[in-house]
Amino acid sequence: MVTGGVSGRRWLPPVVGIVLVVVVALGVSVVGWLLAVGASLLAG
Amino acid sequence: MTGRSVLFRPDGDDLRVIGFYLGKIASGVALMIALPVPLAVVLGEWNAATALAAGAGIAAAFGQLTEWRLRTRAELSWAHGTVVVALAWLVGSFLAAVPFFLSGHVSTFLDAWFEAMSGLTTSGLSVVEDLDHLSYSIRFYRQLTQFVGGQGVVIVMLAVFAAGPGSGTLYVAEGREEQLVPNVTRTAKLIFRIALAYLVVGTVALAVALWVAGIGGWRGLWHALGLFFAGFDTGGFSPMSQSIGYYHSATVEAVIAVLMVAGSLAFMLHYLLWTGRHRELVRNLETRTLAVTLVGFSTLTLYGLATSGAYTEATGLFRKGFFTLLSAHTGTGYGVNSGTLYVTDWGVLAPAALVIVMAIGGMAGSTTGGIKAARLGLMAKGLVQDIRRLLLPESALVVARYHSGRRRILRTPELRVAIMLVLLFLATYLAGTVVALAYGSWEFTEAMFESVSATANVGLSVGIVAPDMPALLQATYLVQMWVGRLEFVAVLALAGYVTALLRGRI
Repeated sequence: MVTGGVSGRRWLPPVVGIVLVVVVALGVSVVGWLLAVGASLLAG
Repeated sequence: MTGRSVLFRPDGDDLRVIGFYLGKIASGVALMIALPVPLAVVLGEWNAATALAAGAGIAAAFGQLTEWRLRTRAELSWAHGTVVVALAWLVGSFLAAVPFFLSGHVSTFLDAWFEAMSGLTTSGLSVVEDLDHLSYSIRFYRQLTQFVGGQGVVIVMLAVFAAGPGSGTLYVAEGREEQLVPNVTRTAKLIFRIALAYLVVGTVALAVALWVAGIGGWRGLWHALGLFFAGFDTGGFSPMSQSIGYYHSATVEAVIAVLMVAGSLAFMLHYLLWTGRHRELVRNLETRTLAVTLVGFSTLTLYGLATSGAYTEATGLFRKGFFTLLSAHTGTGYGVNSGTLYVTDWGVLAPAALVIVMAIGGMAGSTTGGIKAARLGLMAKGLVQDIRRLLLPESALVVARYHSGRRRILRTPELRVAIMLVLLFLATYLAGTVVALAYGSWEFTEAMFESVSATANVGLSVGIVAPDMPALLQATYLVQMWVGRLEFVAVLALAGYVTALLRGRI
């Protein structure tokens, strides 16, 4: 049934939203790591 | 009648409405204090159970008596709403302080009130003595204050209890930018639903990371919940006195970094992402502003640390320098080393960058404090607009646009409000600095660091905040945390209301 199918997947957008936030946060850490590597090269 | 004054004197009915809603909020605070009582009983921590039960009893008695005596169906006006919110955070934190006071780990009631205010405002500055030996249940309660305060004491009341007519004013007065949906109670419940989803995901992730770090079983779950409460709500209280440094785990730090970033995003952004509007992430004025400030000040911090010789290896720079910067920028306040190092070993550039990002904070409508990326972004847009006006012909119509949920045009009134709030934040940062300097015991950098940390509800400390700190300075920081959390409006409205009550006009 179409209605049932749609309501059955109501959890999907929030899960995608959380995954996206986690990916962004990990991306922030990757940027931080690259900057740390750059700074250590500068110091070394 | 002179033109400068407005005839307005709050009467008995006004005070009745304010008192009634304060009673409701006190009942909510009682519920929060009562939550860890079963944990205390299960663990056999009878002193803690008594302290929590007494605190809950006092708050419930105050709340129920006030509600019963002042019951009214009158609608909340704007003035009522702002006054209720300003008072709710004072009265709520005062009541929430009782278990800390009775725990025996603070010397005075001011210490206990400071701890409760720091918890509820998600600041994270602490004056508890011998934290590591405080009972599990009181430490759990301490972490819980950050979750409840981060969501918003009034939001909790709206989500748990039925909202009364006009309660939307409470929502806005508590420093929330916009409602997610037109109905304020639905908005409150949506905010809670988002937080609960992260609670499940974040606690499981932290429990696994702690298990990897060697802390398993119920203790692992207790640490995980506590760290989640203060991490996602950008609070900064840690169950242990060494903060995150206690765990010596890169995995724990990685999970907490994700939670801090998630917590610094506006609930509106979370809601838009939940409803499939993913492009908002790259178009939003605040995410763009934060991307610029984060990369810029991370570069400054890491360069400063590397050139001063504090850390020269990439691992140390990342795990100490970048983590601390992220903790400061998101307004969390979790630390991975002793705070005194920031002023003794970190050179000049890194502490300066930390102070600036603490002052900025995260996104408006999130649990972070400080100036907020939105206001910084609006000011930058306004500046560019003015420069274009100067360069283009006089007849040219210069319009600045930005994206926040939808495409918007920058208007002078909102720019004026943004500038005014930035100035108020800067003045408060400076005021706290001057009070600390008056004692003659600390350098300007230290005084500024602590003042910004308190006002922007961050919680990183260079050591001024301590159990034996001067009472007047402690009271100053307490007020700064309160004023900063409410972003001045409600507190200024309260001041105006009291003036009107005494003088019969504003």
